[in-house]
Amino acid sequence: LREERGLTGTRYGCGPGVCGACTVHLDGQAVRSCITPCSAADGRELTTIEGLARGDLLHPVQQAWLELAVAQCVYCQSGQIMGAAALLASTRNPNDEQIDAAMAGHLCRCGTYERVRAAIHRAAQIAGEGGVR
Amino acid sequence: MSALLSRRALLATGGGITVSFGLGGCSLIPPIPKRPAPTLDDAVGWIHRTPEGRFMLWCPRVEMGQNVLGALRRIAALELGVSEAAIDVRIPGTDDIGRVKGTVGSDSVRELLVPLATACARLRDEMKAQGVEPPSLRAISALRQAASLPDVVQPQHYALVTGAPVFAADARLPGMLHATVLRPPWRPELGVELDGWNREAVQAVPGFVAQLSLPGIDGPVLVGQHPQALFAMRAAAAVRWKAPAHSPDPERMVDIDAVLAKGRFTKDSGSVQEGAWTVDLRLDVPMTAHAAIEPRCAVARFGTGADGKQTLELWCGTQDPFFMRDVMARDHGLPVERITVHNQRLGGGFGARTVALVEREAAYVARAVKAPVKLQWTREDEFTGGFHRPPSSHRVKVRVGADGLIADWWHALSSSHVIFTSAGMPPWMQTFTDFVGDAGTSRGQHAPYAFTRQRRSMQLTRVPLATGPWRGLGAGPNVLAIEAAMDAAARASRQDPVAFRLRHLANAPAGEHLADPGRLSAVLQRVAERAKREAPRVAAAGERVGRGVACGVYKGLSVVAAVAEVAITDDRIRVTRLWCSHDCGAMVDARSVRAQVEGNLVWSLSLVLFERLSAPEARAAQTGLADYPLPRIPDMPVLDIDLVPSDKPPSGAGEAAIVAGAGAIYNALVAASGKQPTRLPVTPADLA
Repeated sequence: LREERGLTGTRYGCGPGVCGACTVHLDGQAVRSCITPCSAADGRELTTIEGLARGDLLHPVQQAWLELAVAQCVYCQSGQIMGAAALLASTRNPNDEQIDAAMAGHLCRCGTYERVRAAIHRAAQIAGEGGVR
Repeated sequence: MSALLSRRALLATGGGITVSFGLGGCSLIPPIPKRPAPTLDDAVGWIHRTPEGRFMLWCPRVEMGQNVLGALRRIAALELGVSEAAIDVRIPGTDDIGRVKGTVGSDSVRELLVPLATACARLRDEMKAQGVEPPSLRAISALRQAASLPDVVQPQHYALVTGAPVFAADARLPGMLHATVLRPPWRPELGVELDGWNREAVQAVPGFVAQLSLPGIDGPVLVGQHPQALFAMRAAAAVRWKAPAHSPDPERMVDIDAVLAKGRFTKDSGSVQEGAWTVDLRLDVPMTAHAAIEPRCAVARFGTGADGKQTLELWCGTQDPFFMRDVMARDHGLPVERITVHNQRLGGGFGARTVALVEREAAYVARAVKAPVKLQWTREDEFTGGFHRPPSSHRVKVRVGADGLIADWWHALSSSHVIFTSAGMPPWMQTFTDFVGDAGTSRGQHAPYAFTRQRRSMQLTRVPLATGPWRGLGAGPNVLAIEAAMDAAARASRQDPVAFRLRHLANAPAGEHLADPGRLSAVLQRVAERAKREAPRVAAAGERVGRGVACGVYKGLSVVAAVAEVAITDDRIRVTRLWCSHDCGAMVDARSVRAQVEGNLVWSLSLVLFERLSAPEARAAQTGLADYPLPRIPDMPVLDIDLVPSDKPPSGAGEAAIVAGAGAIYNALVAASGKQPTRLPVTPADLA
């Protein structure tokens, strides 16, 4: 993704799928690209962070992320955003327990977790309002 | 004479030889980071008016998530009297501005507010004479009403939530090759020997370009056409190392009781009276890794300038780009004018990116293969090639007098070097600095309270892993030990822990270690008040609950206090709530200050309950994030963060809260369990 396609928004954090920084969507499901062989993606739809927005229209998760100033160093955030987007695609209004369970696989050393949770709630709200800002 | 001449000749040719041979037993002195204080003249070079009537601000500090880009833009906007949207703030390369110091120590806003605001005022007023007392700057007046400043979405964040290329690893150059280093698990200084690797198998990997041994790089270098080749080449290499003859355990080397038995210290000040002690508390804090989510990466490209002379460009994420340029100049015998460091955002700094490591490797390889090279450290490289916060072993002895006040206090600390980091420092220089102490290791050891007598002893021992600055430096462990001892003394003398501290702050002397004791008392009272408003948690079946308090000062200026509530079961420790009152003076960007407090509280949680980098055989025993647990979102307590409004000068928020968060959590665990753990991280078994 990074070297051949130039899609550098998906980050390398650890290699064995522990930190979540490499998260992309395969047919809408969040997967760790660092441990997903290309063969597994063959013939399926793959979305990276660069493909989340629709042109100028940011995804509700991206909008909420900006509104609440979630990101600090940003390195884990592509993965967090992809994880959050996948959660909202399957669960319209997740509660804190559901958020924690879905996002537990995303490590953030800067400690943005409280804002991640708040932003997912906000994103659910934005999506519920039609997602257009 | 002839030896001197030949050394000069070597330097003059700047040939492809690492200039590292000794002359009379001394190696060449490596570049030292220069830390010039920013001046108005510097600042004038940062802010420019564009032909279109907008402004462009070069940010003289490194962006690693603390949003210094936003803070400096706001200062400029306030002073210029324009909206923040009119200012483009950019990360400069070393060609774009004059030398500035590295970004360390949480002092960007504190040091830059006046020079930057003044430069903007000059631009606004079309240049007045220099050397005048700074006028009442608009920016400073505006900061006094910080509550009125609206939060602004930073344009750069739009790019960041859409995955824009902003990190060193995102650089892609034509003809770029990829390299990796087969690194020994032990530091080469221990006398590690390379036993061999499977060259034929490496060469057979598709995408193979080269395998090299280069002076200045600790192990064989594998070069490939693409990163996939590197994975296969590393596996095929099956590199073998011979263990060093001596591989001592750093935790054992700093054992405070062994040090006390010898009775000698690197630094020792004050004296206490002999006699029985009310409290005699030991606390061992392990070595910890920085564990930033971005493993470091550098891209190096040699080229030829218009005049036919050699140039070097480096893409990296360093906390000190001008120091990095000096290192490159020395490594390759190039004048600094021919070197450009294109500094990028850092995916977490925390002190880790203050030394030239991956950058030197990338440049050596690029030179050897005569092509641009990207060298990406693996996560394992971060553990084995990086430096770490040293282990520290503390013993705090306290004697409470009949009046309930502490008469004698002795904090003995045994640890290793932080500011005089062993990473990138030649052994002869390490030996020299062994005698001068280390202000980073002792940071925060000077307790802020009024004791009749206070003794502070510190013993520094070089350990076999590289140690250096980590967020807060010594302040995290040192203030944790102080606050644990204060609580123990309060308990022993049957005094309320908050009232006990306030009694000892009432007449506390001001000094470099604590500019304003009154502010520390105030922040402690604030957090206690806030925590009181929430009724204590009712313990569920099988649960023990408790609260703890701690307070402290960071670098003598920012003051913080915290209360933690914990819930302990047989198999789990949870911090359920954390209150934190934080006074760092006037805040340019309160939302970003709050983010730093949040981050420091997570580091506090991590310090007490999660992190330990052990090295029983003088090598990192944990080499991946799976072995080195860090807090995750389910571990988060409910946070109550109280940013104290202030019109005092800004004093830094990047590290401060760790001095209170860690102690509050530890003291809560003691309160809940009745146990006094002597080592971190605390586990349920320690509290059984």
